Formats: sequence, C-alpha cells, structure tokens
Amino acid sequence: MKFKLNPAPNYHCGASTRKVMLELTVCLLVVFAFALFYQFTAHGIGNVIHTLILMGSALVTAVVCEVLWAILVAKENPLDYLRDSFPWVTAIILVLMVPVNTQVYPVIIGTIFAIVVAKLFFGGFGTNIFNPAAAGCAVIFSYFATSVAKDVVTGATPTKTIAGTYGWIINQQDVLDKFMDQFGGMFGLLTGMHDGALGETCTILILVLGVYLVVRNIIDWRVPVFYLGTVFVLALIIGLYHGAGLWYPVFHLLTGGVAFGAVFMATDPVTNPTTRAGKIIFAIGCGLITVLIRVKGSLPEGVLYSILLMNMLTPWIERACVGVQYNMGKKVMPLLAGVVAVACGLTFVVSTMIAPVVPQPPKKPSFLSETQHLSLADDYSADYPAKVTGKTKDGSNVIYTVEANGYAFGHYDNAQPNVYNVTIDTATRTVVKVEYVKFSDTEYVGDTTKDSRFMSQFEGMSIDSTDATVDAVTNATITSKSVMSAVQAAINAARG
Amino acid sequence: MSLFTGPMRKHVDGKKELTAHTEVVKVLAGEKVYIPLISMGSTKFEVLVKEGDAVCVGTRLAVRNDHFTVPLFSSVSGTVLGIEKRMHGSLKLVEHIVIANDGNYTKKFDIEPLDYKTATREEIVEFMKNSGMVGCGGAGFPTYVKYNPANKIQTLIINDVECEPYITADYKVTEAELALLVEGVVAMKKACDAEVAYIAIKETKKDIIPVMKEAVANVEGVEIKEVPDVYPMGWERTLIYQVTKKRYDRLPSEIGIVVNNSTTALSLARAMKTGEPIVSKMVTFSGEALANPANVLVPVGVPVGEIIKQLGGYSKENVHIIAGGPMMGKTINNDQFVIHHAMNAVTVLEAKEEKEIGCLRCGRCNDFCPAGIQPVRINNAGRIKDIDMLEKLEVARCIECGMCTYVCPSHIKVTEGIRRAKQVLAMAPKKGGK
Ligand code: SF4
Ligand code: SF4
Repeated sequence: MKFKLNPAPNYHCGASTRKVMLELTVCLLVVFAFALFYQFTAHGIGNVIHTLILMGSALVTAVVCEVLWAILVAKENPLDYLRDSFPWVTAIILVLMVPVNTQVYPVIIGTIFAIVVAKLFFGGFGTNIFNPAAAGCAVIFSYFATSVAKDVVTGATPTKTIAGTYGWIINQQDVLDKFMDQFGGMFGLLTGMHDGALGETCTILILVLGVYLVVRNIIDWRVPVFYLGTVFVLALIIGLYHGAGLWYPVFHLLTGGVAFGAVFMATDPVTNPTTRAGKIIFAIGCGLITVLIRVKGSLPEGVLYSILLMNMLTPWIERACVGVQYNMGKKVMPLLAGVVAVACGLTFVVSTMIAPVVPQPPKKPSFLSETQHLSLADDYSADYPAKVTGKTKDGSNVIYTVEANGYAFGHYDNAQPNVYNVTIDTATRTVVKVEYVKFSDTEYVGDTTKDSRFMSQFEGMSIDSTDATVDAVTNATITSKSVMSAVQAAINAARG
Repeated sequence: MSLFTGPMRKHVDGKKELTAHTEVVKVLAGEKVYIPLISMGSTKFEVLVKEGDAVCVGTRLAVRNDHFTVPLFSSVSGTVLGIEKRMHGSLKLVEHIVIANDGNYTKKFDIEPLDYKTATREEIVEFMKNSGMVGCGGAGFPTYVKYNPANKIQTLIINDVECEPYITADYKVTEAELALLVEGVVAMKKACDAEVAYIAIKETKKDIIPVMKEAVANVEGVEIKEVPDVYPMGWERTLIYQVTKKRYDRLPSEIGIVVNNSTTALSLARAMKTGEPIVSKMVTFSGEALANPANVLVPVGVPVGEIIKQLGGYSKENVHIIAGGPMMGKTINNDQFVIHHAMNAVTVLEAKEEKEIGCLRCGRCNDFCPAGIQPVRINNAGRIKDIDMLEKLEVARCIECGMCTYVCPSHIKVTEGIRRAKQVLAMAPKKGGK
C-alpha cells in the first residue's frame, strides 16, 4: 500500500492539449481536402500533385526541424518532444496560406523560419510571441513572391484583382458586375470555387469549421466574431463613403485570408492575450490593420501582417487587462471605446484618400501624333535641307519638284534625299497637293507619310501663312519633317 | 455569458452515485480515540482534562482560546490517556487528546439544551459558541462569529449544495433528519434576524427536492432554492451570486447575508434539543480506490485507517488518500489521521502521473476561476517572483478551489502555482519599506 502525495486538486476534467490540437488538425485537413478538390476540378491532377508535394515538404521540414532541435538543443526524446509541440499544425496552416503556384523551396524555407526562428528560438510551444505560420508566410511572400512554379495553372484571385486593377474600391454597377463575374459572383466567393491561397477560398466551409471549434471550446468565439465584425464595419464605412453598396463589406469578408485568418490564425491561443477582454481588443486590432493594409497598402493581403503586428502588441494588451475579471468591464471599456473610435476615424480618413480606378481599354496610338505639330513658323531646312530642282506650269498651278533630306541621313550609308512634287495654285496662293516622287527613308516606317491622312493636311494651306501647322505621323516624325521642309522650300519659291 | 468574463464555474462529474444510495455504515470507535487540538489552523487551546480523568460522551475537553472560542468535546466515554502528537488531516503534526474508549458511550452533556422558540437572539448566538458549532462544510469556521448582532442581516442562505465531487454526506444527513434541519434553519434565521432563509440545493437532486419543499411548506420565511449543478456552487461567493446576483468585497455580511452549511444547522438543532454537541460525523468514504465506498456515521477522533479497514479496505496499490473531496482536500501520506469535527469526507483515488506540457495560454483557467482572477498569469508571475504583478492580479482572492488545475488541458498544476505565488507575495518585503 502506497500513499502518494500530490497538491490538490486530485481531479481533472479530462481535457488535454493533445486532444485539442488533434481536433484542430482534423479541421485544417478538411480545409486542405477542399483545396485538393478545387484544384482537381478547376486545374486538373497536375495541381493536385503539386499541392500534395507542397504539404508533404512542409510537414517533413517541420518535423525534421523539431526532431533535430529535440536532440541537439532540448536534449529530449524526440518523439515525446514532437507529441507535445505540434509542429504539423504550423506546417499545415502555412501551406494553406500560400497560392498553389508557389514553388517547393520557398515553402521549405518558410517552414524552417516558422519553426526554428518564430517558434523554437522563442522557447518552443507556448512561449512563442509570433504566430509561427504567419511569420513563415511573411517570409515567403516577402522574398519569394515572384518565384512561381511554371507547370502549375492558376488564375486571377479576387483580392489581387481588386487591389491591382480597381484600387480596392468599385462604385459603378457595370464595373462591379464585370469584376464579380470572374469569380462566380457572391455565391462563388462564398463557396470558394475560385483561385486564391490554397485554403482561404471556401469561406462557408471555414465558417462552419469555426462554429464547430467554438462549440468544442477549442477557440474563443470572441476572436473571429470581433475580427470579422471589425472588417465588416470598417469596410462598410469605406463603402458608404464611396457610394458602394452592402456588397463591399461582404466582399471583404468573403475574400482573401480574412475568414481563414479569423478562425485558424488569430485564434491561436499561444499568441493571444489570455483574458477575454484582451482577446476582443486583439481581434479588433487585427480587423483594423487588415482593412488598412488592404485599401491603403494596396496589398492583396493584410491578414497575415495584421496578426503579426497584433502579436507584437499582445504583451501590452495583457498589461492593460490585469485584475479581477468581473471588474474588467469598467476598466477595459474606455480602452475599447478608444480603440473603436480610432479604428473608425482612421478608416474614414483612409476612405477619403482612395479613389476608384476604372480600367480603360489600352488605346491604340493614333496615326497622327497628338504632340508633334509641325508649323510653318519653324524652319526645318536646317536639319532637313531641301532644294527646288524643277518647276512646271499647268494653268495657274505650278508644280515644284523638291529634294529634301530625311531619316536616311545620319542613319544609312549612301543616303538619298526624298523627292516630292508640291503643287501650288498661284491664283489662290494655296497648296493644292503634295506627292512623293521618290521615297528614300525606312520602308514600312517613313513611307506611312504617303498616307493621305497625313498628306491631305497640306491641301489648302495658304502660302502667305506664317504659322499653319500639320500633325506629324506618330511613327514617322522625322520623315514627316522632311515633307514639311520640302513644302516650306516650295512655298518660299512660290512667294518669289 | 458575459463579454469579459468566463462562466466562473463548471459542471464537474460529481461521482455522487458511488455513495448516494448505499446504506449508511455505522462505525464504532476502537480502543482509543484521538481528539485533535486544532481549529482552522489554530492550535491555541486550553486543555480542561488531565491524564486519568474519566470522561463521557459530551464532556468538554479543551477550548480554543485565541480570538475565537471553540470548545471540543469527547466523542466516547472512558479515560483520558494523555496528549500525543499525530499527523492531522491538514497535513500538520498536531496535538491530540487520547482517550481510552470503554465502549459504553455513556452520555453526559456539559451543555444545557435551549428552546430557540423562547430564547432571545443573543442567547442563541451564545449557545452556538458554547456548543462548539463550526462550519461542517470542511473549513470549520466558528458559527457564532457570523451571527454577531452588530451585523444587519436580511438573508440567510443554508448551503446544502455539496459541490465537491464524491461527497454525499450532507445529502445523507438531510435525507435522514430533514425535520431537525428545518428547525436548525429557523433557529439560525432567528439568530441573525434575517427576513428570509433559503436552503440551497442542487437542482439535480430530484428525489429529495419535493420532500424538502413539503417540509418547509408551512414554515414562514424559509424557502428551497434550486441551484445549478456546477462547481464551486457551494462556495459562499458563487452561491450568493447565484441566489442574489450580488457580489461583495470581503464578507457576505457587507451585503446583509449569512451563509451556513446544512449539517451545521442540523447539528445546532440537535444540540439545542438534547445538549449533544458535535461528537459524531457523517463522513463520505468514496473514490475508485476503495473496495466499498459508503457514507459512514462515526465518532469524532477515529483514525481513518480503522474505518477503511471496516469498509473492506483499498482496491488499488498506489493511492491518493484525501482528507475531504478531490478538489480541495489535501493528500496525506498515511491513513492514521483522524475524523475531526469539521470533516465530511475522505476520498481515495488511484494515483496516476500526468505529464505537464507547455501552457497553451488558452485562458480556460481564467474563464472558470470562481474568484474571477487570472490563474495563468499569477502562476507565471509567481515563477519569476514579480511581486508588483502579483499584487495587481489580486492573488489573495484565490480560494484554492482547484478549478484552474482541473480545467487545464496542459495538465499544469496551476492551483499549486497560485499557492506558491501566495507564499512569494507573503515573503516579499512590504511596500513602503521597513
Ligand atoms: S484555485 Fe484559486 S486561482 Fe485557481 S480557480 Fe480556484 S480560486 Fe481561481
Ligand atoms: S488552463 Fe492551463 S494551458 Fe490554459 S492558460 Fe491556464 S495554465 Fe495555461
């Protein structure tokens, strides 16, 4: 008979962190399964294989890092260490946060950074300050954003499109319709059948899992609710300011990593404040930063950075929420009211600073230049010497044959001048027409000046004018000047 | 659910079925009984008998003589053998008066019965003091102190909640002597001049509630209050908040409330009727490591080991033997400690080791802490001896209810951390120097 001592209590509710993490893992795998399903239906088996490779390499990397750490640094049995350190959760979240066309090596580097730097250097599970997965993703997005896997197919994502093309705000119905159609409208955004980071697209699935996790007491409802609530309200403010409808805040909730971040990342207890009041402030902060980064930073994704920034503020929030919790309301309310006021104010200010961008179809350059105007007031003979070589009379019309240097001079060996016939009516003292006799400049470029759109500009030009202008041909400004120089020479001859 | 606080309480598996419906076992004392000279941690007693004195059941043996007055009485008849130091249920070495039991249980009570119906308020309070009435919920706080006539009291709450897991002693006592309980409640109500007395009982005790309601049907100003089956519903603060939705700073009398345990009320009624002080106790012996869990009616001063032997012994090799219930009771490293007059349970559980892992910072301990403080941060601040933080976190409010350890998914011994933090704070130089 042995009587063992143990400080009270000697009773336990049976909950365990291992079980909690297991359930969380299962939920994340459900999201991953959807990602595989979407990649298969939208892009085919190639994408599925690449996605599996990404997940596999992240998992292996995470586990290898921790095993090495356990052996070399912590000097513990690696299996025991792994069981209570849960590296796979970080790996899975990280992969779900990256787009499908991410290459394998950035994911491995990101995972190493997440596990070793963001987690183990800080003392391992429970003492890390930054959400490891978010830190790892930040590394991937900052340094490897451009390295995409070539054989993997993907398309435009809603957030990248609205950020890149529309400046994060749309207030015209036809523009909106065109934009939304790419992603199957609101319903498409809700069900996630569009491109985006692997795990972030299917909002409805993420929310259902969130409800499950709340019911199971694995995450605190306050974090996702206040996070999403803040994003909604702030986006509503921006939307109202710009006359966009209710779709706008809803769009913010349905796209990018907002739902995924609110349910799976911002709720990470290790990097949250421990009090409920603190969690609320944390979540509001995340929402605010997400919206600001999105619309003002014009980055497609603010979620990641908002969580990392708020992680940094967690100790400060903790300090503000100290004391007896049922007296906390009084203590925290002013702070909370302050945070809300600042959030709304900032967002309003920011709304005034952004403007909707309506994308224009790229204009084909016009044939005649809008900027290069050739005037009789200018003397072109210096650069493009011209001389009259012949003169024929036809009634009141006089036809001057003029040689003028063009593009060929200075560019080609054995350059020859262009030769023109400039017809001038001496009775009305106006130019009748200008024609080529011989073209010597670049073929298919300078010879566009033969086009009547250019040549007809000289018809009716008075020889007594000192400042009549014609527009040069956009692609052949030098040859155009050669023509002008010839016309000037003829006019000078006609004036006598 | 409140925005900033958790539930501050939680349903725990009560394991009441182990003993709620088994026969009460009457255990007689062996050759010797040992009356511990301790009351709420104080061992300042004036001993009134000497070696060789003949005593009866009800003979006054000693009186606590510091700022509280608590007399102790003999639970058997026989001869005083002297004083011996033994391990007590509070895990301290304490002096015990040893009495050789003659087996006759001759009764001769040193206190006079009192008819509460004709007695004045002051007389009832004086009687509480002389008869050694103490809180029978485990702590043993002297009852008369709460009835100080200087306090203006509106509400008396009789605590029949019994929220500690495994314990069913109050339930058994209530079931057996309901009429006497009601008399005790009426006497207490008179003693504090309250307008109303509530007898609080868990709503899950479906079988006994109708009977109790009937018993108080014709008693003016006494009502049955059903309360949820959560822990620690039997703690004063939690119970008062449940019944009145009021919180207080230090003592319930601030808001005109007195709380007393039901067995205390019943013992008071018995003493008033016959002059018999608390000489025997209904004690729940329960837990998975006992062969036959049961409620035991036993004289005060009998070693726990003797009782367990009579019940059929242990069923496991490595056990925790706990004086009290598993949430708040202390484990003792032998079974020779005795039943004392404020004790209501002995719990024997199989000893298992659980590996502690890193704190998840999940905040569950905060959410369920009935005192509303932040155990996780107190634990951490205690480790690094951050005195300033410990004060801000109001560690003194902790009642060591055990909830924080109970809920911790990482199996951290948070409650023990809080105890350590309290010590750190106690040993720190007081602010302002000197
Ligand atoms: S033991 Fe103390 S700190 Fe822990 S839950 Fe109970 S009252 Fe709160
Ligand atoms: S319940 Fe345990 S793991 Fe959770 S915050 Fe409290 S001490 Fe940490």
